[in-house]
Amino acid sequence: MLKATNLRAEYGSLVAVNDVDLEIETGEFATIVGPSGCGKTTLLRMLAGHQEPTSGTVELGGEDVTYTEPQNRPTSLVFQSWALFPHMTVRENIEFPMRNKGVEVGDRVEELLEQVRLDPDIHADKQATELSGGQKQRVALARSLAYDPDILLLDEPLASLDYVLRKRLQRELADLNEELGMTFIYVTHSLESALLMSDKLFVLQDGDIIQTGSPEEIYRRPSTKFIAEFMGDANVFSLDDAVERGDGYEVKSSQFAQTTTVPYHYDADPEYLVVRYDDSSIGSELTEDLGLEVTVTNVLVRGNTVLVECDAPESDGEYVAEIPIDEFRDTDVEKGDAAYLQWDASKSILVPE
Amino acid sequence: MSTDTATRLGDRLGSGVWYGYVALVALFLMTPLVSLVIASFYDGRFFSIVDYEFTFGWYEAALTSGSIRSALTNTLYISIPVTILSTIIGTAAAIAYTRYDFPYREQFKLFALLPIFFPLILLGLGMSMWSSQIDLGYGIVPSIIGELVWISPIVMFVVSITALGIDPNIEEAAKDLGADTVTLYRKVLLPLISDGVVSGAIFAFVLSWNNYYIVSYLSGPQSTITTWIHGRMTQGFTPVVPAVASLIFYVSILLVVGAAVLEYRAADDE
Amino acid sequence: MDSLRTRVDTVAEGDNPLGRLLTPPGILLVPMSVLLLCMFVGPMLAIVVFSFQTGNSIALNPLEWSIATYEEVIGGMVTGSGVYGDVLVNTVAVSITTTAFTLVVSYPAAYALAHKITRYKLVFLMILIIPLFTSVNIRVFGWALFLVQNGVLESIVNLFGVREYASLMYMRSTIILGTTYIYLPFMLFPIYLSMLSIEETTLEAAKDLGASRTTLFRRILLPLSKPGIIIGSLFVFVLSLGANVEAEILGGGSIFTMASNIQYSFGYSQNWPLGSTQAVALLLITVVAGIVILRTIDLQEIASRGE
Repeated sequence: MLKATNLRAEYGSLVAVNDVDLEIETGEFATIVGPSGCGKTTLLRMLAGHQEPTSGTVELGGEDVTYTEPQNRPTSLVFQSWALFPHMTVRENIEFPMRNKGVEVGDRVEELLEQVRLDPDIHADKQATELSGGQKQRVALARSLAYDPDILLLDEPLASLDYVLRKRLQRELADLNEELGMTFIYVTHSLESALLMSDKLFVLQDGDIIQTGSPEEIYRRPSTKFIAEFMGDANVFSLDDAVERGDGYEVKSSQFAQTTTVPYHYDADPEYLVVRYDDSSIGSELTEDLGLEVTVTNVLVRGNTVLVECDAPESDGEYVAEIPIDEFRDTDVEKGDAAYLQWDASKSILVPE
Repeated sequence: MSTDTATRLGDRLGSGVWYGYVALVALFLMTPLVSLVIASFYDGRFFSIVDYEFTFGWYEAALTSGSIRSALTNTLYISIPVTILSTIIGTAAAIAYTRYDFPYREQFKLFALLPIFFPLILLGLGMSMWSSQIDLGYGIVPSIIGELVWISPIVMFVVSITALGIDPNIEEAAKDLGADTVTLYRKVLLPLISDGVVSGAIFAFVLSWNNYYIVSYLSGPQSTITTWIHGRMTQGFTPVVPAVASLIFYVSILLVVGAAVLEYRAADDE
Repeated sequence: MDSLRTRVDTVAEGDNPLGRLLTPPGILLVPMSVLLLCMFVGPMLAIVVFSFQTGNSIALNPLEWSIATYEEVIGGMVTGSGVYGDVLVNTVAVSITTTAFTLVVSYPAAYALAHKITRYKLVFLMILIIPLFTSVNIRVFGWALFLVQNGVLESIVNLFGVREYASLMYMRSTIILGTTYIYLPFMLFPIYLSMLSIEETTLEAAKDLGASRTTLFRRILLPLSKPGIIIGSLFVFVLSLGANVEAEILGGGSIFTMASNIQYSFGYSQNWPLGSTQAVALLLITVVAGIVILRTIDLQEIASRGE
């Protein structure tokens, strides 16, 4: 188990990581997600031992490793730039950590290459600089696995790869995590990676962890407007008034055609109502229990669904509904038409500022 | 907790050791120059730090001496043309090498940069013999041509590094937008490499200003500052020598620091 | 301006050889090529040609060729008669020692400058670069002022109560001090540049994968900085073969090296063929080393480092 307590990093007067607490169970695939400059790389570097925290502690399996040097830590970092040793072959790169640990090499290089789905016969004796981006990424991963760490740290190693390759490698990473039972900590600014692979998400903003939970929890129940917007694919409405009613709040907005009550879980008063694109629909009549009048500005086909983009005349807001293509045909709504953007009120998410 | 502070102290000590070491190397490199400056202000026969007697006298003597003045004039007669010509020759070669493709391009680079690696005594000797064979003789003009051989390649090197940093498609973009050759040079290429050209020119001047070997073989009866100093060092030392040498050094340091600041500002702008 | 413009561009379109020479890149190559052919290739040829002449000739005699000077110099080196054996040993010893010393001093400094020094980096670089732009004889003279009897060093050691100061001038080790000093930057900067090209993450990755300090040095730092070490060593070795001022001023003529011997042959004994023969050896080594250095240096890479 990895446990960070009150971990803090300052650069001069700038606080990059602000007293962060973190607990990750053995075998978990944890993702630290946040926009660039939120302190996530600094946090990861402190876990790896490449940077000393200003204060706070890092414990691995109950042992304080806060000031242990990276070469003596059971962690291994897969760098964003992969950092393969340019003067070595693939094999030499992978043997490097084994020789450092004094482990028998044997057939491990071949095994590891197969594990990251590279053909050892073709690639093992290539120079590291001869590989393509995706291959370098795989070799970097194999090299870190060769170190046999308790915790594998990944600093956005997929960021510079193209979409298709990224998708495939994400799935492979998730499989590998399951197969090896090793703890993975992945840092990214891209939500799609975070959602697809992780057991547990930490959302980082300006050096603070602002929400922790499973991807599902965070996707369905963001705790702030920032997270809701960061998670993307959601319409955000600002509320005029919200009155507590039993389990939830009765929300009012001059935009909405109706008033309704929505469940709510946080301490601060709700300020915004969030609804996901795919929970929204469009129609010429108001049939759901919450909705507003809009003008359809654009219709984009995205595979089996269409994205209906619309303007709300009241608020200059731009909103989107994502609905199955057949369902959209049935509505008879076309670009330029006035219509209702609407949804099941229980799908609404209320968030504080 | 105590082990934590120990580790962190160790780390800070570690980085202190690196700083200390580099500072020592820097001190080693500055030792003779500092000695020179200290000696140039010292008024007395036996040098002593404890009762240091300060004077400007040697500088005054240096600036009023006829032989030093004529050596200074000769040095400038050589350095200024060398600066101008080597900047033109070196920049032209650098542009050709970095921005054009032509047959034997790599061989041209190899040939043009080779003189940089020659011990100057070899260049000086060869030129001296050659000069007498082709009746070029000895004096200011042969010295200028001789220094050009060593300094133009250095300018080419400096300018090439700047020119290689420019987007290789810039010429095509300019031509696409209707620029002819003259416009391309005046409005695009030369402004972009101007930083490199200016540092190249400053280096050229400083290297020529300090040149001893080539000039000593080619200047004949004309004495320059460096040959004057050398003559006085080997025979007939006077306390004016440190003052003259220091003056040369002050000019160099001013120009090199100027060039560095220029580079630094340019790098900052990017 | 307009007429020049049209002229330049019309010439460019023509396909005659003269026209090509007058447009870029041809016209840009001409000045450097002419300069080097006339005043670099010519002089080097002169050295080679004169080495095959006879006697004390200072004018070329196309009818008399001889290898007498080669017999004298090489024979002297082999049999040990005359000064040539000693000169060869002295010169090679000075050059090798200088190369070793500059390497040992530069390597940690280059590493620190590239990877450890963050504050005042520009100041350090300035201090290290300034000596390169100061005349060799001025710097050597500075050392003399530092080391001589009644010099700066003596007055410093006096402060610590040392009264007996034996001058450090005119010794073999003083020459080595001088050459190490003069050629240090030629070792330091190539190694510094190759250290700069080693990514910080490469070093971190090695530590991360359990490399000890020795492994980090032996398997990562050393192989990756090898081009700098090769360039710097060749540079220092060749340049210190030609070291003369150091031997003259600091050595006070106590040791004869190749460079001082060559100069002696030209100066006092006026024997150009003999001097040329010795210079040919220096020339050969220089050309080979120069080509190796230039082949190893990647200008594009230096440019992309943006330093």
